[in-house]
Amino acid sequence: MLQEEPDDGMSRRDMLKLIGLTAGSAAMYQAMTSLGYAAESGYKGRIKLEGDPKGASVLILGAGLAGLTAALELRQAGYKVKVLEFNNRAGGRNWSLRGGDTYTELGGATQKCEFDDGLYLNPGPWRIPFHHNGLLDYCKRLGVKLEPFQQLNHNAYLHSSKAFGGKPQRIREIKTDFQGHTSELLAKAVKKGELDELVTKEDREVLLQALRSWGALDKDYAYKVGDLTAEFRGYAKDPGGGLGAEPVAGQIIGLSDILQSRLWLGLTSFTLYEFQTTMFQPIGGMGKIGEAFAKQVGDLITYNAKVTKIEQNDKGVTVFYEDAKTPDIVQKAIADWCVCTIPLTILSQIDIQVGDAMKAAIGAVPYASSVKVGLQFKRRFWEEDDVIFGGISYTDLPIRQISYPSTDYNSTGKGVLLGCYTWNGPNSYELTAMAPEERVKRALEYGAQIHPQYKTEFENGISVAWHRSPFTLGCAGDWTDEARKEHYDNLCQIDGRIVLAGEHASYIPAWQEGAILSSLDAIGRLHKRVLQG
Amino acid sequence: MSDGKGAVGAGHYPSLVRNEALKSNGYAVSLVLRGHKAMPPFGRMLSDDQVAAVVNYIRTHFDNDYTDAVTAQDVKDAR
Repeated sequence: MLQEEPDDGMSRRDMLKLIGLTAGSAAMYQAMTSLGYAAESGYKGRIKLEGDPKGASVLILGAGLAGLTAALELRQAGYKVKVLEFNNRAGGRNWSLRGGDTYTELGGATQKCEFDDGLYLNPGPWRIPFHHNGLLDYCKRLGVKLEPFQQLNHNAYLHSSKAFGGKPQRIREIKTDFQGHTSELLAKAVKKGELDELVTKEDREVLLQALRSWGALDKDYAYKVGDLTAEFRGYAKDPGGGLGAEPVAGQIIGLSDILQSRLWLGLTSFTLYEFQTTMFQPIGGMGKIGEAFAKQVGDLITYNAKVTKIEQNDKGVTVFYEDAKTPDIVQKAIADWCVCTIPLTILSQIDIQVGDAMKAAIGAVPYASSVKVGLQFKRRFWEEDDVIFGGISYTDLPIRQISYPSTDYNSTGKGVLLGCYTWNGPNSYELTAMAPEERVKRALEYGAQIHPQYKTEFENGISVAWHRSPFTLGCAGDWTDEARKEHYDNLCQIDGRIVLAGEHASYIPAWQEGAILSSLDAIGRLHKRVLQG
Repeated sequence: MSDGKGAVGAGHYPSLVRNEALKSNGYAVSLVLRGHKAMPPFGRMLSDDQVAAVVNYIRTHFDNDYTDAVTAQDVKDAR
């Protein structure tokens, strides 16, 4: 890590200001990156589409975050912009289901969301990593207020139906004990000289100190029940005030029990770059972002437009579409250029006039399966009874996760849990195959094994299985390395007058940042092409 | 969709009912293993037996009556 003040007495910020003033913003950006500031996700700051497009028109297909970003920026750059959207709302997978909303999935089942005011389910994206700078910048520009999203809550659970008699374990206990036991083992090996070939004598001493600190080991490098370990893993009886307030340290969970339980699997997700703190969520639901975009560019969008055919020649692009409600009437939209953000699952079924390479790419990406269930309860028992404020419990049950709301902490009244979040795997498809009310029922049955309060506190629920979503036929682009190698560049190239964009055309699939970065890259290249004439 | 009739949205899932594409059992096996466009691959998720069971079920239900059942060995060979 860089020290805060360089030795020459000039602060890093002063230095950046100097570079910015003398060499322009590109040099400043380069310098910022090399000094460890600025763009983490590849976001290069607000896009500058300089030069006159001379009234050129662009037709954007899809009003998800990729399409909305393109619409906002291209209009600002002087293009005539129109957007066709299949749904009757903007946002695409950026979406919150709230009380009064209805959702009809493929197969025909319609659910009405019965949540109370202010409660919601984000069926699609639900959290924003701190390094998704593009999305964060648009939130700032559009006035979307954010709040912290709890990814790691040490007091949430790790649960295995096959270990500890099915009793959920606190993350802090598993984490501290696992760290303690492994540190103790490693310290023993160091002291016995078993690592002498691998670690120098000078480092051995420091390593032992580090293991003692990292693993909460005692002076003899043992991981033992006591005040020290309790300071990390928590107490059987917390310290209090007055008489009888002395704390009691809890029992340590044995290494073999932790290993065999496989609960250590649940510890890794919190350490992944994409899930590290700080994460964010928009106040009031992820859908606030799509809604805020729609306030800016809603006048450009034709809703309920189902695209059936995309043609192009050297003069322009013609897109045929039906009104989703009156499918017999085919309409035409014409423009000089086209930014197509339609998911590949659907685009691969549409007659589109592009070259063979792009066509092959469009057909090469299957979409991941995912199911979410939102459950409304009469009271926030996870806070009141279980002392869990936000965060996620992981389980080996088919629901995989229970996420507690990262908002309205410590309040009375109702709350909505994310009672199931699957990602690929057989159980995700099994849940997808069920009727929506059956998914809710299963989420309740499984969840009650972790929180028995489910049985008495449940009020209503709603579920979204992404392979039944009429507007995506799946959750997100599920690239393999081989497919990416063969098809990714072909997918992203401009083909005549058409360019594709969306999370599927990014290296951050399934994340909103991928959609935005893909869109900015696509319109940047398109704009250059337009200026070339 | 449990009726096998498929569904239509912005795109569609084809109907399995009296579906002539199921005539070739090899094609059906390959589709389940490797997927095709919007249909995801199931090769890594399902065993040979499971793939054979799915294919045989579809080819003898939904008004399909193809009697040349596939075996787990057929699936293994097709992987």
